[in-house]
Amino acid sequence: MTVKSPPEKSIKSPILDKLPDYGIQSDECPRRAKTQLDFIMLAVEALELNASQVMLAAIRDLGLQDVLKSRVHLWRLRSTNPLRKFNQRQPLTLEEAKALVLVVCYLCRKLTVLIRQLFLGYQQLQDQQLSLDHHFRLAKYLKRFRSHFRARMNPKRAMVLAYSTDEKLDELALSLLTQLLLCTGTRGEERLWASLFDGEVS
Amino acid sequence: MTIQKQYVLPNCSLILEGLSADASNVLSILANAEFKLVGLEAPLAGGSDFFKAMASAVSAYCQRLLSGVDHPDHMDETLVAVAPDEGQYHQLRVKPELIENSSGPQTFRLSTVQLFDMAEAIDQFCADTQTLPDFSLSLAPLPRKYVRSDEPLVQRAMPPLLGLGTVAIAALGLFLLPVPELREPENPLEQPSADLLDAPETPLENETDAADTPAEAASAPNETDTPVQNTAITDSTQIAALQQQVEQTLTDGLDATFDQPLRYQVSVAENGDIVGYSPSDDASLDAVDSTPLPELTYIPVDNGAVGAIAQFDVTFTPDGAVEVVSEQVVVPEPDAADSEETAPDAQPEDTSESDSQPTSDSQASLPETDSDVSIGTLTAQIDTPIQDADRIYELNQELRRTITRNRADDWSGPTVRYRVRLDEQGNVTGYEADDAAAQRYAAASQIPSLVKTVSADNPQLDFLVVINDENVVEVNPWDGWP
Repeated sequence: MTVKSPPEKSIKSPILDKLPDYGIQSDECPRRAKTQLDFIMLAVEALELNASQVMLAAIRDLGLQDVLKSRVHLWRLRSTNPLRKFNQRQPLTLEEAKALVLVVCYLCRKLTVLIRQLFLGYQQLQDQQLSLDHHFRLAKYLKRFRSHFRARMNPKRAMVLAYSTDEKLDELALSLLTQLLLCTGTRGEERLWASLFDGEVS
Repeated sequence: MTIQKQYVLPNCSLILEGLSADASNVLSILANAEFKLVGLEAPLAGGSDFFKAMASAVSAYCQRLLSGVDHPDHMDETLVAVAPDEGQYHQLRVKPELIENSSGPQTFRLSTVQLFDMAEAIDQFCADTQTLPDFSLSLAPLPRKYVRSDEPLVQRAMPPLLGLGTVAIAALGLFLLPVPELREPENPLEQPSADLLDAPETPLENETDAADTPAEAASAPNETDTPVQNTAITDSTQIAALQQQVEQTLTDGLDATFDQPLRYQVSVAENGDIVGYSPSDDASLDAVDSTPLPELTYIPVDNGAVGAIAQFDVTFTPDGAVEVVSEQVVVPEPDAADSEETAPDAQPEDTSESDSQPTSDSQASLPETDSDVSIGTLTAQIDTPIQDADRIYELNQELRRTITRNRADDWSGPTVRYRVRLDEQGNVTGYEADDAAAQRYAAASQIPSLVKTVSADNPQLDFLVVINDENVVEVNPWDGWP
């Protein structure tokens, strides 16, 4: 029998090789990484109205369909966040986490202008000592983030309980916005990826 | 040739000036670095050291913003330190020696966007292979050892201390409890194990040995005899029935003849099966194969299933008769009659104490005759019965006294009835047990020792002797009072 095609291998997207493994022993992401990735995606959703469609489009654009197979699969990966109400007690593999990092940074770059605008507005509000409600776009972002967060996170968790007030949630939203800004950078993927394992490697 | 590189971003421009080591256009030797930040009057300028410190501190601080974990690189107060300030502002502190015009302030307040543009300028420089190719800014996760726990030492020490304390308290509590005594089970295993070891052996041996030499065949059933000590049949009627059954079985099975009497001890189960036998002497052992015993012996599958057994003495006489005698029921020995006949003067002395005067008379007047009265059995009819009512009364009283005097004091048997024949002088000429129990207790009642051989021609009369379970003796004429 003549074999015309090479044997099929599980082809790993070469784009994932951009992110090193940092000598992490297990194939599973640490708990904080799962939480942080989900939070960042929550912030993206708060910025982008049609985030779920945009994310699927981003997956296609990046050619990551092999890793992030479908909308449900994406949802299940995000639900590995232990603070979620419907937490999937599943591991988040390094490969899946890498794919999510790439998608997040891809989306962030598309949102660079908006993120910068929000920061300029934030700066003006702070300089004039005005509350955050005075910037329409920023207030909308914060409001959407709060409602997303409260709808999806398990309020019985101690960590979630720490964000019980609007002020605390706004703080979290703004720090996540800073992270989104850093993700838009040239080495955004590397920075985000490395930050997921801060204090987790030996 | 001086090479100048610019990285321009909305809020920050990075200008690098240096020399190329060779003819290529690569900036390999950094002379001057300058950060021009929007909103700051004077640019931040410095040499190679300044730039390296700035790059690593700003990059590390960006990682800190992402992960929330402090990196040592941006906290190095000796060169450049970056720390969060109020709101979206960040504080950049630079050591005066590093900056060219150190007259200005060394602490700068940067907004997030300014800081990000600084970091982005540095990242773009790193991505540029034409500028300082030897310089690289590695991005790696912070090792665990640098992570300082948020919790104070006391709080962190609490869980292990609490655990140790619990163990200590539990250990103390358990120490105060008494040590439980180890009690050996009162050899519950010995009994069953011994049974288990013996049980499979015995039947097997029996089967094989039965086919082997007679000696072994004879000795093997002995083993079945021993465990059979479990229960013995005590019911006298049952024993009597068994006795007859065994006698019948052995007589039917007997076909050979022998020179001398063979005697065996035989164990019989409740249903009449012979479950074991043991020869009483060597001759019996040798001739065991000519007896029907080996064939008739029923080897039980399970020793425990044998149940109650009865022991009999079996004698095969040379003339082909079989005698079966229960070991528990002591009947007058067949030899007794013989010995009495051969040595008649031995007997009177025995009975002399019981009734002294008539004995001598009877013995004297009645010399040895061939008596038709065998001991233990009586003829049905008396030829010349005693008619005198007074004499009958006297005889009755005398017999009652004799038996009362002679019977065992610790009589504990059931009610037994005997038919005792007397002559006119009051001599006991014979007796007959009414049932098997009576036969068994005959020895205890001492009646057999009273028997004398008297001519059947003399007038005689039968009396009914009853010894009840309370050891009370009743004597009445067999046919009732005249």
